Amino acid sequence: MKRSFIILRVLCAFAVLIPISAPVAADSTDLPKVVSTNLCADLLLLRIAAPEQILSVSTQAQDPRVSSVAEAALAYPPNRGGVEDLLYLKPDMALVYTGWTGRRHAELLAGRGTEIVAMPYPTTWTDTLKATREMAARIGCAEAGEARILDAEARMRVLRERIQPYRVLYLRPSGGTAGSGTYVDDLLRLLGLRNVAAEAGFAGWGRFPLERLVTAPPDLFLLGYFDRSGPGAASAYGRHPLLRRMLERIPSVSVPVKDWGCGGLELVDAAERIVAQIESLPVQPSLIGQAHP
Amino acid sequence: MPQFRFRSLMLVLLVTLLGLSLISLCFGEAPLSLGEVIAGLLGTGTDEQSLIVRQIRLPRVVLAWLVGFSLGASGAALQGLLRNPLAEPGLLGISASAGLGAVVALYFGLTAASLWALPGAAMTFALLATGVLYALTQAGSTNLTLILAGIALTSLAGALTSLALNLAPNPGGVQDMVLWLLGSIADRSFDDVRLCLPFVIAGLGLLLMTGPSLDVLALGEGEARTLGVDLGRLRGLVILGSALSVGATVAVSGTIGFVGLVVPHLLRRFVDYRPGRLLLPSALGGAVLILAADIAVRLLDTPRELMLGVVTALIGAPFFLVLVLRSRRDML
Amino acid sequence: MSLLQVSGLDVVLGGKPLVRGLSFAIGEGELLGLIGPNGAGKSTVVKAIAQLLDHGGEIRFRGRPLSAMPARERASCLAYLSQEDPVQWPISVRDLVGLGRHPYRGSWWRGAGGPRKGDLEAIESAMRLTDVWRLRERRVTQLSGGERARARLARVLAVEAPLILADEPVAALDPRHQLQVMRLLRSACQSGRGVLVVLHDLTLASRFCDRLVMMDRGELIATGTPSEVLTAENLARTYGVRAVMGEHDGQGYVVPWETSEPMRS
Repeated sequence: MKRSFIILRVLCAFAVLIPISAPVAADSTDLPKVVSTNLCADLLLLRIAAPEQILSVSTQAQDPRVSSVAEAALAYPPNRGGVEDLLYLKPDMALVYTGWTGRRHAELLAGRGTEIVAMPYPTTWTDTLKATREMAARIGCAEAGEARILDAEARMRVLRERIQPYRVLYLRPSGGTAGSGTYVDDLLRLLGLRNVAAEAGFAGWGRFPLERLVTAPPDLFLLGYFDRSGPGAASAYGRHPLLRRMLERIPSVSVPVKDWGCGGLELVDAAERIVAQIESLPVQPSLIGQAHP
Repeated sequence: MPQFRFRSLMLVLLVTLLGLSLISLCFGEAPLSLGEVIAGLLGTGTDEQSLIVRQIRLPRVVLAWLVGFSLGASGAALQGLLRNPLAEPGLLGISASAGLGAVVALYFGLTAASLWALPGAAMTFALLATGVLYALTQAGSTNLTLILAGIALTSLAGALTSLALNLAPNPGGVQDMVLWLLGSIADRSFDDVRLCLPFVIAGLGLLLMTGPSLDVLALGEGEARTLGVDLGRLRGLVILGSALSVGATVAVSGTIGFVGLVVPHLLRRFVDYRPGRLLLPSALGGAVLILAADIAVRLLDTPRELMLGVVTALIGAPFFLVLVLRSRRDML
Repeated sequence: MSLLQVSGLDVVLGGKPLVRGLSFAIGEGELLGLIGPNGAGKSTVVKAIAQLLDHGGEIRFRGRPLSAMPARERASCLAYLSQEDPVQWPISVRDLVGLGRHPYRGSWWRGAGGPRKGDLEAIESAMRLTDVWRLRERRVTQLSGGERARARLARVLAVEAPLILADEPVAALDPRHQLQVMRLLRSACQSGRGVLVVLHDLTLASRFCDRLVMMDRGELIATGTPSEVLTAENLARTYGVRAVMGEHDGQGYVVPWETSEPMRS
């Protein structure tokens, strides 16, 4: 429930992108009233939609432990994403997870005046921009959306080529990494970095075996959610003395954004901070990894 | 003659265990040859080889031993004490309760005070669960009520584990939940081994002490007592021994089911069905099964590594069903 | 001095008095029958003597209170054969009988070792006496009811205790095996042992026992030789039956024939 991206990742396997034809509303009073039922949709809505068209956001959005927009989200009544919530709130449109829940919602609410829109799950930055553009158009905020998109694109462009092509390994405490075909991989490449996991042949969201760490250590670690695991990180991988010693030796930066699991426009915030962190590392990573690719 | 059979059984189990351990050391992401593995183990190889073998693969093997010893011996001892072939730490909810204890300790910051809080909490919860079950059997319950109570305890502990993971200050994810409910010994280090080793040794010691008394208990509690069996002490030893060993291993591996059921059942005929004699072979057999399952987990070409508990359940659940059907026939 | 002296035995279970002020004694070489209708408290008396139940009054073995004796020492003084047949695991007959040697076992770590020489002799002679020697490799669960009863009796004999407590050892046995088991208990007494046996069959009680203790609803009704105890009046009073009684070859028989009064609930 908390790490929404995990569920999302599972569900996205069944994702069916709903073909989109975008009616653009003239003025804000005609904007469709929208409810979002998951963190990723909340992020999108709170960034792009007009405040008066948001009826409700998910409870996760208000949880400062997992959401970076918790404060803004507190302005709206929360929902837990049930069909009953949607029946009661009577929105014109509901942004839901893809997959089974979304399909169930669509079935149950068919003919009740609520349009169910499944959130797309982007795997590249280009995808992210495209999906945001489509969603913005859907909720009648194409212009606001376009402005945010142009801004994000410009910021992302600036970041390119600012750092050395380090070999980077993205790791979560469970040993999870991001191989090719994930937005993490795409982002790393956009920044001019090399994704160790993808180069080692991993695709999708797999695990990076400890043994590979020993045989092929990266120049730099990018750590996701290590802050969240607390003192006795539940995952043995994150606690393993071998990894701990490597983290002392090899520089690491952590993903500075709590909700980096959606692959939305907020990726650019994450990217900026990652680049800034790398630039301000006391010791710049060595490119030893390059010696034996 | 029986003595000879017992010794050959132990020898076979020991050789299998060592063989599987070596095989387990040879499997991994890094392609090491047998020679390199041995060199790494002895420390004569390169740094990289000895790091991989000694710090990644060896702890995993040692932990498989400890988990297997604990589950196998506890299963055999509980079956002897409760005089019920269906008794097992996993089925009776002892493992799940220990998992709950571990989750509470981990996610609510008890481990910040001392790492020993982790096995400590797991063992305490395991002890509570075992005590409740024992009280139930003393109230004159049948096999059926015992198993039902175990199911209730298991699902209660599982539900509370999920609840704890959700309410924790540092919320855990779905993967954490899966770990505690299905168990795994991947990526463990000697830190984890150290954390459970003393308790596993103590627990196994207590369990192995019960052998002769468990044999006599085959006669029923009354006759056993008149033969000098101190029933209170026997119960205490089995309950404490299982709670210590199972609790401590669950604290680092999560709950792994069915091992304590399958292993004693398979080995019983080789010790002439004597419940006390079964303890030691069961401990070794448990380790063999865990090691084999752990090797299978790595060999199976699944997109993500399977949880160890998935494999043991795949082996154990059909077993359980057959046992239930058979014991039903015997009882009717 | 008698082998076992029971005086003023009281047993209360769950607030209900099951045995009240019962006193009797067993001498060396004596086969004592404990008889009485269902619910009279016969099994309770046996369990109290075996120290399986808390009780009032005193139970002395060769003058020493049994309750004060260490469990291990007590285990070699009395052997108990319970009424139920709860052997759970299909252990072999040899192993079953061998369990009778548990009181003489050393420390726990010797458990893995086999029985010692004296044990082996005791086990073999117990099995030969009860005629289960040829069944020694069989599983207990594969035996017929009679074979199993004899095997369990062999287990009790293997303890080589001076006192044997047998709770309905012939229940569920056919006549031939009933006679066989009673003869065994009889011969067990010849070596100076005392045997307390709970019986329902009055003819067996009359033929094999030296003395009888008859009880009803927790109290002593009569004690003495079979002919003193098994009177028409006592049978009517405790069992509520009229019996056909007589003698054959100098031994009495008692065959309950009809109820003497409407059945008590």
